[in-house]
Amino acid sequence: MRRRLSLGTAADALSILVYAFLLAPLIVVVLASFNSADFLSFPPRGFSLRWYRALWESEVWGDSFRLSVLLTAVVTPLSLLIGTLTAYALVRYSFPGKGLVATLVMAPLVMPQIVLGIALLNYFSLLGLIDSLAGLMLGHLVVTLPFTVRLVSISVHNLDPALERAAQSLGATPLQTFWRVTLPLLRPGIVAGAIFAAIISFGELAVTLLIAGARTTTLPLRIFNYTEYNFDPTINAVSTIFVVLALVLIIALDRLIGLVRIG
Amino acid sequence: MSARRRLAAAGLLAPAVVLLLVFFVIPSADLFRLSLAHMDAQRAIHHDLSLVNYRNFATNPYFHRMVWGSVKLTVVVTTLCLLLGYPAAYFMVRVRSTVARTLLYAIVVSPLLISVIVRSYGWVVLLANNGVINGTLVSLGLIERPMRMLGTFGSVIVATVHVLLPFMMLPIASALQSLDTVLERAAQSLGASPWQTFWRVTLPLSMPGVVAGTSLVIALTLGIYITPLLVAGPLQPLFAIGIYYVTLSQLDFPLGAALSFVLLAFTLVVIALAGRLLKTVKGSAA
Repeated sequence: MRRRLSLGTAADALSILVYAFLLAPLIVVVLASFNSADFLSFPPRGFSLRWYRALWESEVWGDSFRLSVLLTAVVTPLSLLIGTLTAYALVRYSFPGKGLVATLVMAPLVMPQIVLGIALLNYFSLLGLIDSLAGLMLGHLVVTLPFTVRLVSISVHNLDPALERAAQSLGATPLQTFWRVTLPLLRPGIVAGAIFAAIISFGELAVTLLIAGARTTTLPLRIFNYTEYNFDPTINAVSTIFVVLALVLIIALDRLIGLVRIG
Repeated sequence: MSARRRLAAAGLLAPAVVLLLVFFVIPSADLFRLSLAHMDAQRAIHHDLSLVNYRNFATNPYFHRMVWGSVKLTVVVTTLCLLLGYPAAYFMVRVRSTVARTLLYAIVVSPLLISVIVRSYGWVVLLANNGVINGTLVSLGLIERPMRMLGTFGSVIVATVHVLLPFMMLPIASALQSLDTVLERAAQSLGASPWQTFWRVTLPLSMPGVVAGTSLVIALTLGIYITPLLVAGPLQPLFAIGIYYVTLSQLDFPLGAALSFVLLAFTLVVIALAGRLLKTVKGSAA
């Protein structure tokens, strides 16, 4: 009995260490953002908001922030629109070649991101889309689409077709049925899809690194450049914004569909 | 009616299909065409349908070192994710308090919502020469001068496990959640020890989650490049970093394209094998 108990305790202790491991780099970055020292120093010198002030006053970080927000604001609704139409068609209709279309839609997820990035780098150089907002937008659309399709599909699966038929038999036109019945019932999947599309687009780097440039330095790309070439504690403050954003979205997702169901 | 429905489906799918054909399928096909070209000493590209880049990959020891590095990383990272992720997922699913369970799920899901650059950067802060770990050890007097951790293979392992652990834990947690605890209690009431119950009941029934998580982590480790690039630089011998280096530093686009397709082939083989294994496992678990 004692041996069994110790086995269970050991597994529990290991688990708690795993959770600490998952949190460690995030906590460290948040703490470091309030450190008053000029360089990465540990233990911290003192509490200060100077890096947040530096961030607020910095023109380059401001430019990157605005670019990333703009990109996310364009990519999210487009990805959601295309994703919702696709999810609805794939769940509700049967037609020849359906399996092929379903595979095509999920394919960007299977492709290693470096390969997708290199493919777009080569293609966009031919089209003159390197270092352009349009290029980034198209790249992010391809990357986010599988996620919006998958999340909206869950809601379409849960939607009883009888409800739509009932609306139509009561005299609603197909368009009215879509706006008044279908869309409201798909809301959880659509909102979850929007959150994931936004978060992926806002934080995307694997493909962005290969197709962006000096004129299109998104927020993640600027963090990458600064970490590689010139260390700047402002990165800690930027990173903290990402962490806080994730916390807010975690709460939203939990309210919306329940965290347990995301996995 | 059927023709009309077919037309409706075509209309709904048109935007996605056009987008993916023009900005995914054609770019991939063109990359394949490029992989059959070759760059001469004057850096001119000849589209001569040669296999010279693939031959280069097969014979050049530099690329063998890269493949070996990626295989080593994949084996170590996947094993660690499995050994750490399974107990942690079990703990999360079985913890009694709902608040604690939601909190643990939040810890596992949150990395997925934070840009990979921020997560990897956190490891730079921890592992740098003047970072948190070295700073603590030096100020405690445990070491005299900072240990070099950034840039080592070990730092790549630690950061990669951190980035990919949620992909292992979530499928396992979801398999454990759908597992009826009555079966475990039945085994125990029939005299099985907790250890026997785990090996004979819990683990086999959660195998679909284990296989799904493992194949996901293998495929993602093979192609990971942002995280190792940040903690270990562009010369670390890893497959995906090699593709990045050959393409962006040496500007040998045809060779980079060929390496990309080799990596893609490896990844597809892993996914296909995992798919087959998953079917077998689900069949025997049912």
